[in-house]
Amino acid sequence: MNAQTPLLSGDDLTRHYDIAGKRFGEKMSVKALQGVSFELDQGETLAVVGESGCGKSTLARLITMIEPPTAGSFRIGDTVVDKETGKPGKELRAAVQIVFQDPYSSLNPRQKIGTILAEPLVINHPEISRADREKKARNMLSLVGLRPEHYDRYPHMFSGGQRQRIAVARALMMNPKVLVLDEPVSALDLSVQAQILNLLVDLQDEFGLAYLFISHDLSVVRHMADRVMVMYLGRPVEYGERDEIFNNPQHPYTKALLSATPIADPEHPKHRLKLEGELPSPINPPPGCAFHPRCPIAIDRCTAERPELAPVAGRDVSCWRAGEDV
Amino acid sequence: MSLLEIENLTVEFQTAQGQFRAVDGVSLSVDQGELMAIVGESGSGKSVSMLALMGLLPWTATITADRLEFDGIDLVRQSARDRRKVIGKDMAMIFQEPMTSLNPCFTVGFQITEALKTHLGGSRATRRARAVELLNLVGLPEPERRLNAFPHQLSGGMNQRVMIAIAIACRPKLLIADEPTTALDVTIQAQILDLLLELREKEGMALILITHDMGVVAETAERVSVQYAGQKVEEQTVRDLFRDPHHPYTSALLSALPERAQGKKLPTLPGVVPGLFDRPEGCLFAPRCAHAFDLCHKRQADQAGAEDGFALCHTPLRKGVPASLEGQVRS
Repeated sequence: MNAQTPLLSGDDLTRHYDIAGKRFGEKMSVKALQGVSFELDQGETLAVVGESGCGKSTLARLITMIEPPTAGSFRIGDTVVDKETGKPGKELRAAVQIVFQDPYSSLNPRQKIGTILAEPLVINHPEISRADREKKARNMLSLVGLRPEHYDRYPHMFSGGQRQRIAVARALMMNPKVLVLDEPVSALDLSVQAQILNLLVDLQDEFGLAYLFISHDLSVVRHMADRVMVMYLGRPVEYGERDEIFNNPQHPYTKALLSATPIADPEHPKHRLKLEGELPSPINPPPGCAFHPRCPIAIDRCTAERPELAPVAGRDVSCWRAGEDV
Repeated sequence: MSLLEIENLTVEFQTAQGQFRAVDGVSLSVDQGELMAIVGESGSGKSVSMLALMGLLPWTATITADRLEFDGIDLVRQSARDRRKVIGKDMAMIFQEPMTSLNPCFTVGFQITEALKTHLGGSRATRRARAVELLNLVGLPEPERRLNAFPHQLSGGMNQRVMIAIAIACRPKLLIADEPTTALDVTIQAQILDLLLELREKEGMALILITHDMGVVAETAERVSVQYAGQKVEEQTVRDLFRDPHHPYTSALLSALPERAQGKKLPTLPGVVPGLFDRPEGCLFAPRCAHAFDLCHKRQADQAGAEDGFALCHTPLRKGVPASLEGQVRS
C-alpha cells in the first residue's frame, strides 16, 4: 500500500434497517452492517466473503450510494460521504459502478443493448451527441468481447455469460474508478465463469480499476483477490492479504468457511471443521462475539465481551483466542 | 444385478419451434448402496434424465429407452398407477430449492406424514412417531415442535433437511439428489452433504447426486458420469476422472476451475452449449473442442472402451494427449 490516500476507503460504516415491530416501546432494527472499515486502491481487488446475511450486499449498496450509511463514512478520492452528505453528485456516482449477480434480471428486457449501454450517458452527459454515444457504446461492446451486430439486439437473445458481459459494459460506460462486483459469476456455468473472470482481469489491467469483489465462492475469491475481508453477521472478523488468510486463517469462522468449501481434488485429505447450527438473527445478535454460539473454541469471555479487530500474524482478526495455539 | 439400469434413454420435448432433444441416448447403471454423481452444466440434461426416471415430466415430453429397470421392475412397460407405488417409496428425489419444493400451505409434519400415509399406511399416532424419528435422523432440533411449523418459518438449510426427511420416510433403495446444496451457504452445504452420506451408510441406500460443482463431486462421489448437451460423454471413478480425464470436455472443464489456475488467466472453453437450433452435425462438442479435426465435424463418435472412460470421442485423451487414430490424417 502506498503512503498517499487510497482511492476508496470505508471508516466504521454502519447500516441499520428499522423494522415495524416494537418490543417494550423500543424500536427494533436489523443490524445489517456494523463498523466496517477498509481501504481499496487503484488496480486492486478487495474480496468480501461471508454467508448470506453477513452484510456483504449491504456494503455494496452503501458504496454505490444506493443508500446512505446510518453511521460512519467512506471516502472516494477526496470526497467524504456520510449520512449528512445528502444527495451525492453525478461525478461521484459515476466513479462507482456496480455489476449485479443475476444477469437475467438486471437487464431491462424491453431495451435494446445499444439503449442499455447509452442510457448512463444520456442521463449524466446530455451534452454528448447521439452519434458519439453510439460510437462509445459500440467500442464498449468490442471491449467486453461482444460483436458489433449485438448492438441492436434484445437481452433475451443472449446467453447468461453474454448478458454478464453486457452488464459489465454498462458499468464501464461512465469510466468508473471503482467497480463493485456483487457475486458476478455465481449464476454462471463453470466454463462461462472462467470467461467472465478472465474478462474482469483484462479490464482491470487495462483501466486500473479497483474491484470490490463480493462472493461466497472461496475458490473464485482466491483466484481474484489481493486482499480479503471475511464477514460474519454484519462485522468483519478477519481482514488481510489473500495468501495470509487462505494459507493461515486465524479466526475460527474463517477456518470453518475454508474447510467447508469443497476442494475439486479427490486426493486432497479431508478433515472438515464442522460448524453446528445456523446464522443467528441480525435483529438480536448474540451478546459478546456474534460467532460464539457456533464457535468450537469459545470461552466464557466470548459470551460477555466483543473482540475488536486487532493485528495478529500480519492481518486483523477479531477473536479473543487469535494467536493462541488451538 | 444392479439396482438401476438405464439403457439408451432419450427424452424429447415438443416445443413451438419443434422437437427438442434434451436427453440423447444416456445409459447408466447404479448398484445397491452406490454413490453415483452426474455432473454437467445447465442444459446438459442431467436433471431431465432423472425426472424422466421418476415419471415427473409433463405430457410434452416423449420418453424412449431400450431398458429402464429399477430393482427388477421394468419401468417402461409399467402402468402409471403401478409406478406411483414405487415412486416416493423405493425411489425418492430431493430438489434444488427447498423453499419452493415444499408446499407453503401445509405444515412440515403434514407433508412428512403424507408420504407415510400414501405408501405405508399405519395409524395416525405411528405416522407421527415416525415423523419425529425422521426429523431427529436429519438433525432438526426440537422435532415435536417443528412438526407444526410451516416452511416459511424455517431456514433454507432446515427446509432441505425436511425435504430429505420426506424423501427417506419410506426407506428408499435409491435417493436422487438434484443439486441438493446449490441454494445453500457453504457451511450449511457441508452439513447437508455430511447428512446425506451418513444416511446412505445408515439406511444402505444408493445415492445419485446431480451437481455442477466439481468440488462437491470430488469430496463425495465414487463414480462420476459427465454429461454434455444431453449426452453422456464420460464415466469414470472419481479419482481417475480428476487424474486423467479422457473426454476433451471433461478435461477443459477441469482446467477451467479457478483452483487449478496457473497465474491470473484461466484456460477457457470458447462458445456456449449448443441450443435447439445450432446443434452441430457431428460431435456435439466439436465446435468448442481444442482437439477437433474433420471427422469430428462430420460424424458422431462411438463410445470408447472402459479404459478410456467410455468417452464419446474419436480420439479420447490419455494424459491430456489425444490417442492417435490409425488411417486418419489429422488436419
